[in-house]
Amino acid sequence: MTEKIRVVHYLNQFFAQVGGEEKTDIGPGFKEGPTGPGRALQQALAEHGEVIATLFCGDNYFAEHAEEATEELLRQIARCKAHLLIAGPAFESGRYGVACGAICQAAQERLGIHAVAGMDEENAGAALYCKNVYIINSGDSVVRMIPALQRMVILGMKLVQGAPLGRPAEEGHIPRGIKRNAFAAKPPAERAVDMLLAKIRGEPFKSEIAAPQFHHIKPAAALRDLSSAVIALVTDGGLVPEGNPERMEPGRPTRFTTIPVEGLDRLDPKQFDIVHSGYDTAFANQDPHRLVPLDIMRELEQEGVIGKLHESIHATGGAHAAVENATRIGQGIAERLKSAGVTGVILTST
Amino acid sequence: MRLEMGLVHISDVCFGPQTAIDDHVLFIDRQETVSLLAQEPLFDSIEIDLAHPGESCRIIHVLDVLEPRYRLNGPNFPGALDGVGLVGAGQTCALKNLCVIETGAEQARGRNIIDMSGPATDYSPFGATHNVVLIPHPAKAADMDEYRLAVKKAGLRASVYLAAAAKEVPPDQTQIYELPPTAFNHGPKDLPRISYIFPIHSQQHPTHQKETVFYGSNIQGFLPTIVHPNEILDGALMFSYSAFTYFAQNHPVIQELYRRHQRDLWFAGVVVTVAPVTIVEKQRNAHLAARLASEVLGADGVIATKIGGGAVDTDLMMIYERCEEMGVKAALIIMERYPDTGITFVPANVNALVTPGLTRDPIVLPPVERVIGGDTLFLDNSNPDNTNPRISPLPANQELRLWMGDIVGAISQVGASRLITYTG
Amino acid sequence: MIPVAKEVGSLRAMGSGGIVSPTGNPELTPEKEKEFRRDLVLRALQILKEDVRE
Repeated sequence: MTEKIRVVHYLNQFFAQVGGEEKTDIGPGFKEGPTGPGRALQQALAEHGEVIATLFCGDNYFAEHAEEATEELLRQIARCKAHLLIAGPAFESGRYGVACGAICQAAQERLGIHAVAGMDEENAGAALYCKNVYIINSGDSVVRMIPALQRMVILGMKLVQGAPLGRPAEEGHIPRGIKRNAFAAKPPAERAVDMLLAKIRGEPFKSEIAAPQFHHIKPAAALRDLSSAVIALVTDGGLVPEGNPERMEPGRPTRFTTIPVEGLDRLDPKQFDIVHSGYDTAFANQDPHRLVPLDIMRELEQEGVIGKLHESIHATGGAHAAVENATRIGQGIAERLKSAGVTGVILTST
Repeated sequence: MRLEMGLVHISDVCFGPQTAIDDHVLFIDRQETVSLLAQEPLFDSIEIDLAHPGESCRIIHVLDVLEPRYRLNGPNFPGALDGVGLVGAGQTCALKNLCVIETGAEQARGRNIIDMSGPATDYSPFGATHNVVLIPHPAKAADMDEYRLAVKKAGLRASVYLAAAAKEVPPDQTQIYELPPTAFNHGPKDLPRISYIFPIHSQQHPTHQKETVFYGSNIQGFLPTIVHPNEILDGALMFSYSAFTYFAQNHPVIQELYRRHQRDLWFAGVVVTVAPVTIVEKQRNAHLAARLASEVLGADGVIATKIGGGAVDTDLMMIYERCEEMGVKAALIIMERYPDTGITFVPANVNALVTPGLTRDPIVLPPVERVIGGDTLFLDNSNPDNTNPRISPLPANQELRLWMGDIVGAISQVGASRLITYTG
Repeated sequence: MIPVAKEVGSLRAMGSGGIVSPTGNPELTPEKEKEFRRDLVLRALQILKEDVRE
């Protein structure tokens, strides 16, 4: 007989029966057992789980003091030794939805417990948190409270038990934007020929992979004068100091390394290694300038073509980088360079 | 050109006094096989082991997978094993339901695992085949690049040797592969002519001077050319990496086009090409491949697959665009690697993509009683993405938390899998 | 990989010496290779001086 799942329910001030709009600035609070819709939650859990406590916070308070509110709520959740956090459903209430998403993400990341939020798919909280938090699409009407809670319980229990999840449409949650495999009715070659024949015949067909959307980036203004500019060298080809002391990853990078080059005229192949799983690194290992043109940049600096070569090379290995990590690494490098007064970058990529 | 493939369905494999097939059971003379393969100077020794479907057994560090085939009029794997010659016509015997598996602890680029039971068998066909596993060991001071080639050659040698046992065995089934020469290759006007553009290698990991990929050639500087599809099925091609040779011998796209030839399409032939390392060369090969399909094969539509890493998504998109510009409709089969975006990049006008699956989908493999091909794996069980060189090796017989792409045969870039993807 | 770069929004991109040697060419002699590299870098710097339209 498996132990009962210990559940904590997060609600806003209204659903926690603390008060209406006049109580929207109230800070985090705690009530033993289920409150308000928490009773329907307990019914949905039946004998499999127990709503140990209800946590609440005023929507305005959370919006204006997110960090403090989150800290306090996490403390309470930890104290309860909860297995599962259920937040909402917030329906179309935006501040409430954002709070639900935030507290669920924090509980997952910082306490390592499972969490399920509920809100309408158009809720601001959904766009912000659906990637990292399972959010049941509750729709916008309070009338659907009980079906929403039931879905949240089913999904929450599967997460706690480590049971495999069905597709978003089956489970009722907002798609997280994470791809999964499924068994296909027809093999890929047959589907490809079907798709091609439909295309030739002018019949409708649907591509199986959608074009990824990348954020529009406003390009930096052109450099007016190179001779006074500070130019930095950056690479995603996996340059590292000899022996790879920071243990940079050959693939799926999560960080970058900073290699000091002040006073260096050249990259001695004995003092550098290349760590990258996506290309044959032999040529770059023989002569690292084939990857990062330090020698030429130093000459151009001495000739006055550029003002100064920045004191470090920032490097990572770009094989199979997840878009999020690549974005984060790029932002990290850019911040460093900007605060050092760098105005131009040559990025060499393999 | 007509190829008759005689299929002998194997129901079991075991060691016996003589290599022979008796009532669908393959008996293997272990000593004779080992002697044959141990002649390779770069081997210190070689072992052979058998793995059967349903066993609690895991094969790791798989370098290549082959279906044993024997061409009755030779040559077998011309240029790679036998001397130069041609394949694709005549009679070939094939042992079905049995594979030769080469293992190489440092040579396999990846974990490359086959489980003979458990959840992996839902995805990979090699959990259901009887597998003859080669476990070679390198001679002291062997050049490891050449050793890898020697292991691949041993696989060819073993698979031809075993298939030769079917010489006198009447086949259970005969498959005919026949297409007329291109100049006479005209079908009814209402059947669309479909060609296959097939990149066989990506030079981001260049072939070794002595490597034998296509008719024994190392394909450096390879330009797109036309082949008869039978040649791919019958031993002209051994993949360098990134795909298992079994899926050239049983090429899913070629077999599908043959299956539907004269039914709802006319199979208008195959263009093979290579993905080079500079943009200019990629553009050139895409232009040439598309032109061959369009003007020489007269294709109305093209299927193209890819091989290699993310860089080759570019080659494939170029092929697509060049074909469409020439009025040839295109559809691509392209493997997904990233749970967020799927593939590296898709231009807005590319609207016909088929996915054979996502490699980075998590799967948990249960512990097994026996492991062939090594004892440990380079794997961080708490994070399969962790490629930090400081990870301690993990015993391979325990529960493993892996990606779908680590399972040999689950997702092949040439379009073999049981999968489709969805956004969850 | 210019097409990839342009697709994700990097508008200042130019061709390199190839995947395995972006700022080199192992088939040249060392002196010629350095000239090749200098030429590449100067062109890259020139692009930094150009306005790009989004």
